[in-house]
Amino acid sequence: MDWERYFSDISLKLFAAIHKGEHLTLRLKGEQSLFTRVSSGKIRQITEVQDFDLSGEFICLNNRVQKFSLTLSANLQTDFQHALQILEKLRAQASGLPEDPFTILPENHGSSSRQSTKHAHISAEQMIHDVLAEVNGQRFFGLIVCGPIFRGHANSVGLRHWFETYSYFVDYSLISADEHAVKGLYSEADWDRVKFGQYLQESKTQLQSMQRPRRHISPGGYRAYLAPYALVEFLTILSWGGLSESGLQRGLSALLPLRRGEKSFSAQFSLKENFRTGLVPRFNDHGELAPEELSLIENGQLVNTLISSRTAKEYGLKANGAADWELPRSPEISRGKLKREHILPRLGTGVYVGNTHYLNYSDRSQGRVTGMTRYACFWVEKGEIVAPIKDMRFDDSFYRIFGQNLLEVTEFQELLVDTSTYERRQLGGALLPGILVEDFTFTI
Amino acid sequence: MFDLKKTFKQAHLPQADWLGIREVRETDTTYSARSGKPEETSLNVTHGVMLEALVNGQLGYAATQDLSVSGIEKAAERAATLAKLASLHKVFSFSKSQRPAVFGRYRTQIQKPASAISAGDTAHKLTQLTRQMKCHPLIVDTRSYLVFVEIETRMLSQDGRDIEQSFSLVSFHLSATAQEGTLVQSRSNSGFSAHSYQGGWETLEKRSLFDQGETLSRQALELLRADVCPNETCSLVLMPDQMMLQIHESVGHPLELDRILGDERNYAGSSFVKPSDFGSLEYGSAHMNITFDPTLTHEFASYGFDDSGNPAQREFLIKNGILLRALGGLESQARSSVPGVANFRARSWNRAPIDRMANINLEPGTSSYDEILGSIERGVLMESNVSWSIDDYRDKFQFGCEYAKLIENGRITKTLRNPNYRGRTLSMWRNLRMVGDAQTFAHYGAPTCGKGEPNQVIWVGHGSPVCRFDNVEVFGGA
Repeated sequence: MDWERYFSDISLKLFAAIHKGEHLTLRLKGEQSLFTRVSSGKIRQITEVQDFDLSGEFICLNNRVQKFSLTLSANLQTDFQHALQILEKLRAQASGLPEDPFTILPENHGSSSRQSTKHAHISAEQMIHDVLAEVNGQRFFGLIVCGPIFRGHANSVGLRHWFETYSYFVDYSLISADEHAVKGLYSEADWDRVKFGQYLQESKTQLQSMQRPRRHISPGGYRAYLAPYALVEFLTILSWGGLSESGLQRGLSALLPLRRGEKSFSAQFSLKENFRTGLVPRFNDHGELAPEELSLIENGQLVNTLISSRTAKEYGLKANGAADWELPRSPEISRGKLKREHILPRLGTGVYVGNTHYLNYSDRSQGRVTGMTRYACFWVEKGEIVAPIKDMRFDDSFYRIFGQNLLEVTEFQELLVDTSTYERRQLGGALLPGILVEDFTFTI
Repeated sequence: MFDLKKTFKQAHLPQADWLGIREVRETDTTYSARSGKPEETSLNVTHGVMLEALVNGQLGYAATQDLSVSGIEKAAERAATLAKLASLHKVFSFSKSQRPAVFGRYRTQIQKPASAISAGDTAHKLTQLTRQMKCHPLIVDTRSYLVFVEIETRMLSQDGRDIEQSFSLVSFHLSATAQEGTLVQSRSNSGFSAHSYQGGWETLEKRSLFDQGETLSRQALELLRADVCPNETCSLVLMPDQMMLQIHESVGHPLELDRILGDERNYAGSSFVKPSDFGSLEYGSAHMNITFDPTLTHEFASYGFDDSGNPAQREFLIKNGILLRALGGLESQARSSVPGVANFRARSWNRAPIDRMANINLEPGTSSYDEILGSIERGVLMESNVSWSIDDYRDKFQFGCEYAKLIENGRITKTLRNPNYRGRTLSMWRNLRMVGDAQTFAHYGAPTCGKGEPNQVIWVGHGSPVCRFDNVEVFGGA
């Protein structure tokens, strides 16, 4: 099935069916995925999903805006009739709705079509067989996902975008007999059983190094290294309205003190949107192209926020291609100068935090967050790993972690692909270094 | 109009030890408004089927949106092929016993469906509400959000399963945010989307939810002037809209049997509970009685059958503080020999079912609200959840609420802002000292409990009376 062609065909039919003065924007989100859930090295559930969704925005009668979505059955006439019925219902009720003063009418910003060249070379079934053969009875838990993902965008003034990629990942935890755990995420350009085996071996080696009694550390402040996989959770929670212009205007951002100049981040800390990784299309839900790079925090200063077209209209600002939710879609925290081999010596005595879990705000307006350590986290003395730690809760603020207590940033980054599969598989990922911080606060 | 029974009958199905189909059709109608302006009006429809095939003790799943006979045939073929492939590496050998051939019907009782008020009037209602709530210069944002969800499901199998269920769900959220400098305080109607029920407009109207706007704005302003919650260890009184999260995170999730068996290790985590704990573990004080109850008429996650076809009935999970039963469906029960409930649920047609919460309630006790307050020399009362975090074993937690009161010598004395508390699960529940009576009981819902690989959210319900806990570490914000 040529889904780009199908999307084009149904779009053209629907655009021809709207009335004069009406506007229509359409989006296709689809996937053909195989999910293999592994529990203790065996298959727990195996699920193939074919799911294609047409969504859109229908504008009529002077800024009455209504959104809609429907599942596509892959029968053009059936889907067209179904979409038409929905549009007719929306048209019939439009006159009763309040006008939306911040309506964004569709525009033609220029079209694009891109198909990613990343592909696995082998069948999904072969990949599953390879993974399980390498796992070979280990206490391996996780998810093997593969298949193509599709994104399309079109509007009634001629805009067209298409993005299609084949992607896969193996997202796993390896658990020892005494319940130590390490995390792995394998997602290379082409599937290679040997390379996966080598990657898995690194996890096994790390797990071996944890075969020591856990160290219980007392609540208090410690020097800590937050590895990229630990840092990604901080970035995720910061993204809950933090970098959003609308969030700042409405008091929902943790960066309000930064914006007002009352608090600051370290000059070593820089964050930007960077679409050069190519993992996610630059076009947003309105078909607007975000710049390839957009600096958000530069040397500790908030230089830009994510501004959607709606927010721009509401507050008299200039939009910068942000999605409606104004979350970063392809974030990068800039690298520093700390070499990998210097991490432990520079940490000295403190905590190596490999991963974190379940972060949430304890005081959003002041940027204070809490969460847990998880997986490979170690007590380090004089630059040597001594023991894995018993999991600890932390509670600290962005203004300390990325601000006054930020000591160094690593010179390397890791690309962490987005493994979220709520409703549908997500695209994108984050490019992150590790950071060394002082006085990181653990509570219980 | 798609006819599942007819299409399933027409399809040429592959060879399998058992084969079933689950259809889900869902329509969501959403309205939102912000600060006196409409924000969103949307209509979202999803419709598809999941084929399930049992081959050599392994179930394979294939979901498709192609509802033609050939589409069903292809999906059934894929389900059987995947089951056969996976059976070489299966974690357990299942049988038809995990898919009972049951006939049944369930329908939400509803008096006033979404359509009773036009889309236009609904959108205007919410817009007007948020405009009225912007009643002070320091109120920087007001928001209202209303969603009606209609879900029709049907499950058939080659051996005669025939279950139809029809759900009408509604969720309503209202909030006001006050800001002065960098001090920001928000107040909502019991936390995000806590007012979620089975039913229609009547469930919201009988609780006077559309009359709460002015109170929420006033309380948001009040919080700007309030003292920060003190840092101390004291008695803690939790209102039902925070008990909801306490139950959800520190009872519901730890008791999910698939977590206990390790299936969630890579994502949501596991549990400190072991299979051997059932029947003996002192989970909480003798006041703690927790039920899995799919029978309460308007509670959010009531239903007749889970997605394996297992009929759902009320069961005690914890009685007089002792852990009795897990939140595990027929598959997990077979793997572990631990008693469970009918809680094998999928969010939609495009996900396989897994062990989920449904309605998990703390049963009322005998203390009145005044008795609970009157018993406390010094403590804090908290309501309306705003933040939640717990470790991957469901032990060390931290919660934040929107609004709190200081209790001194049996009386409420002042309002507190940024109230948080932290603790450990068993210690917290063993310090449950008083449980409110039926007069203090209220149930709420959570539409987006997330779990599973691939990920899926599900709607759950939690009911509780007012409760008193002792020796809890409370603290304020930054």
